[in-house]
Amino acid sequence: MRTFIDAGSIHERPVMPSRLYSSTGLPSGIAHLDEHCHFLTTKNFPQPNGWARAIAQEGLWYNASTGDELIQHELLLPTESLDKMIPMHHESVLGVSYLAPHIIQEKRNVVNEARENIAKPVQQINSKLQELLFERPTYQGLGKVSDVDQTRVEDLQAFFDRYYTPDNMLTVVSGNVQPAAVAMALEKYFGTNPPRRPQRLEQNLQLALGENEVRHATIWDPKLTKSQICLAFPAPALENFRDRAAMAILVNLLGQGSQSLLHQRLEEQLNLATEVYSHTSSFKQTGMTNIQFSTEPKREKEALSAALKTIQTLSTQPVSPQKLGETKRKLIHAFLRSQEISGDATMQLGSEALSGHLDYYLNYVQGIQSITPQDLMRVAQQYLNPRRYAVVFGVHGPKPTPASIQDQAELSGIAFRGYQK
Amino acid sequence: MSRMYPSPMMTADLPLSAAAPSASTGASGGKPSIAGMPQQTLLVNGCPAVLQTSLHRSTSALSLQLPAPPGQDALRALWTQTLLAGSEGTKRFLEQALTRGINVTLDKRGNRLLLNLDGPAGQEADLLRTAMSLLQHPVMDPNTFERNRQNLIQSAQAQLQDPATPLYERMVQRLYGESHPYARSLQESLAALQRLSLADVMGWHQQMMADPRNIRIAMVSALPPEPQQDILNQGIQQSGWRGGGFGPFQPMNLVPPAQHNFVGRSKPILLPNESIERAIVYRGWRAPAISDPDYPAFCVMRKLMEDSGGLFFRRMRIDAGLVYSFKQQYKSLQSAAHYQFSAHIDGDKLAKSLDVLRSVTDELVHQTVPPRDLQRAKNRVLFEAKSQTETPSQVSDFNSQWLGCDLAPLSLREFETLIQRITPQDVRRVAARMFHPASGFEVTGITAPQAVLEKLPTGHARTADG
Repeated sequence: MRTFIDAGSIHERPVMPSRLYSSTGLPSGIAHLDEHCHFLTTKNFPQPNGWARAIAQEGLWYNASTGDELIQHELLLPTESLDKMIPMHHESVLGVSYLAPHIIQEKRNVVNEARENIAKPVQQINSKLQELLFERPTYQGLGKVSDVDQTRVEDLQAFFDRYYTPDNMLTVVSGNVQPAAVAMALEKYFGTNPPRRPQRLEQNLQLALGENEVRHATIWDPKLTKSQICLAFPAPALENFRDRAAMAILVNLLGQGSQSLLHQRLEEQLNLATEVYSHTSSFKQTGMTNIQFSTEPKREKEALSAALKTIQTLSTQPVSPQKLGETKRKLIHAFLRSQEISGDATMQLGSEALSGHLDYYLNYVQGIQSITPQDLMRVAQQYLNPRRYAVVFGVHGPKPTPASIQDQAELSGIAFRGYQK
Repeated sequence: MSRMYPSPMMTADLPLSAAAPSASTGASGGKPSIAGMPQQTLLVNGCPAVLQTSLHRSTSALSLQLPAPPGQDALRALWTQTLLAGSEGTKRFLEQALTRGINVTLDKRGNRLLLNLDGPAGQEADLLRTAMSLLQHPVMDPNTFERNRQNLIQSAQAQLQDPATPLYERMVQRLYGESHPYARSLQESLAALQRLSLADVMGWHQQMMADPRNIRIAMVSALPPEPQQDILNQGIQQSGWRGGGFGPFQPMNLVPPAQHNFVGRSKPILLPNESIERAIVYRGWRAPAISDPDYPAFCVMRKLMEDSGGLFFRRMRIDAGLVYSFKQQYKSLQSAAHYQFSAHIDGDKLAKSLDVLRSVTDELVHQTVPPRDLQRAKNRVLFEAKSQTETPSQVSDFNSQWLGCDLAPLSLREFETLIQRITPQDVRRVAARMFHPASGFEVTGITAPQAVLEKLPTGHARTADG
C-alpha cells in the first residue's frame, strides 16, 4: 500500500541559483523533513515514534521517499492485515502532528542522512549531473543544513496543508485483494480529508541545456579508484508515451546487457571501459537518459569520444528488425516479471497514475510492441544528440587548487562549449 | 554437518509423494503460502533434487547448486565469471535466453554456488536445457578469461583501498583464527587471482560435473512433483549427464570445523588512518550456524536488535542520535558463522556509541525479553519470510539458505512453527552464548585518525578481558 503526493523538493527554495525556478518561500529540504515527520508523532500516537513502534509490533515494513516531483509513503503488509492497516496507514499519512521538541530529532536524522550521502562520490556525481541538466542538484532534496535547522512547525504545517489535499494524492493497493472492499475502506478513512484549494505555485523540473550545449563538471575523490564518466541526455516527458517506449528500447540497446552497443564497443572491441550502465527517467515536463561507465585514468577523452560516436549510430542507422524484436521481448519479459512483486507493481502503477499517465503503464506491452525502427531513429535524433548533453567526470584524487582546475577539467581533451561548472 | 532442529535431512532417498500445495497458515495466519512442501528425490543420474509446487501460475524457477571451493574466493570468482561470461558465445546465449524470458544468475550461498534460472511457466524443460548447456558445454575463450581476471584483480585492488577492508579482515581472523580458510585475506585472494589459469578453473569445473551427486537441483513450479521429476529426468537423459570420473567431492574434508575454544572480549583492534574523517567501527561475534539448533532463536534475536523497531535503531539513532545508518550482517558457512555490526561514527561520538552497543547486547543477556517484544520480532521474521516468497524464484532463493549449506529446505509452514516455538529463555540463552564474556567471543575493530583513537577511554582502547 502506497500513498503518493504530487509534491516534492521542486517546490522548495533552490539551493543553487537558477532562472528556471522561483523561490516559493519554502525552505530547502522541507519535503524530505516532512516525510520523516510522518513516522514521528501522529494524533493517535502522540509519543515520539509511537506509530513506528506499533507498526514494528506487527512485524510490518514501512518506508517513504521524496523525489523532485513526488513523495510516497509505503506500507508492506500481508493481505489479511489490510483492514487493520488501512487506518494505520491513514494515521501516518494524514494524522501527522508536528511538535517542536520532537522535530529536533528528525532534523538531526535528516542532517546525518545528508552528511552520509554527500560522503559518497557516486552520490556527488549523480547530484552534479542533475545540476548540469536541470540546474537542480539531487542534494536539493536533502536541503541546506541551515534551512533544515531553521524550519519551523508552522512551515511544516503549511507544507502539509498545501500539498496533502485530496486532489493532490493517490493511494494504491496491490496484491490479492478485493478492490471494491478496499475502495470502501480507503473512502472511510482517506475520504475524511477535507477538500481545499490552497494556493500552489506550479513548478516542475525544467531542462536547462540550450540547443547544442554541452555542460561538464569534474568531481575529485580519493575514494574513486577508476575514472567514472556519467552522461545525461534529455529524455521524453511523462506524457509522451510513444517516445518513452522508444527511449526504453534505445536505452536497452545502448547499455543494458553484454550484447548492448556500448558494452560491445567500449568493453569488448576497444577495451576502454567497464561497468557500462544506462537508464532513463521521465518527469512531468522533461526527462533524463543516463549513461555511465568506468575507464582508466587518462583515457577519459578516448572513452567519451567512442561512447558519443556509438550513441550517434542510433540516429543514423536503423536497428535491424531482428534486434528490435529481441529487445522488445526482453523488455516485456522484464516488465511482466516486475509485476509479480507487489511492492514494485505498486510503485510503477502509482507514479504513473498520480501524474495522469496510467495508460502508459496499462498499455506498456502494446506500447513497446508498436515501436518501429523509424521511431527509434527519430527519438535518438531528438534526444540523444552528441552536441547536447551533460557529462560529469569522477576522478581519483584530492580536489586540485583553483589554478589547476582547468587543466584537470581538460583531462578529457574535449573542447567544451558553453556552461562549465 | 546436520541441522539439529526438525525436518528431514538431505538424504535424497525419501519416497516422492504426490503433493498439492499445502495450505500453510503463512506468516500472519489464514492464507495459504504460495508454495507447498519441498519434496526430496533422486534423479535418474543420482543427482539429489528438491521439488516444490507453487500456486503461482506464471513463472517457474530452477536452481542448480554446485559446491563452492571453501576459502578459495579467487577460484570461485573466476569460475563464476567463466560460467556466465567466459566467451562472447556464452554472453550471446544468455541474451537469447532473456528474449525467451529466461533469466540466469549465479549467487553464492553458504558452501555452494547457485546457478539460478527463472522463466515463464511451461518452460521448465527449457530452463534445464539452458542450465545444462552452460554447465556441460561451457565455452571458454582465453582472451575473455584474461580480461575477466584483470577486472577481478582491479576490483580486488580497489577493495584494498577501502579503509574498512583491513579492519574487517583483522576482525574475521580474530574470530576464526588466522590460518582458518574463512579468514583468508584479500591479499591472498589477489595472489591466487594472479596465479590461477583457465586450466585450473576448468579442472575444478570438470571435477564438480563429473559426479552428479556433487550437484543439487531444486525446482519450484506450478506443476506437481511427478511431472517436475519427469521433465528433469528427460532433460538429463537427453543431455547425457551421468556419473563417472572423479567421484563425489567432499567439501567437509577441505574445511576443518572452526575452533571455538576461546571466550571473552578480545582486545580491540585499533588501526590508525589519517585519511578518513569518521571512525569506522566493526564489532563481530561468533554466531549459531544455520544448521545449529539455536539458529531459529538467533533469527528472532536478530529482529530484536535490527530494523526500525530494533534495539540498535532505538538506542543508537532515536534515543542518542549517534549515527544515521549502520549495518548488521550474518554470514553462515559450513562449520561456523558470525554476526557483525558496522557503522561510520563521528570521532566525538565514538566512545558513547561503543557504550550503547554494549548496552544493547548486555540487555539481551541480562534481561528477559517482554512477550510483546518477542512477538514483534517473531512477526517480523515471519513477515519478511512471507514477503520474500511471492514468486517461485523468491521461494527458490528462500530455500537456498538451507540448500546452500547442504540441508533440506524448510517450507514456510515448518519455518513458522519453529519460530513460533521460540521462548524468551531461548533468546536469552542465545544472547548469552554470543554476547556474554564467559561464553561468547567478541571482537571490536576501529579505524580512525590517531588523535581519535588516543581519546578513547581505557575501557574501549586497551583492555582485554578475554
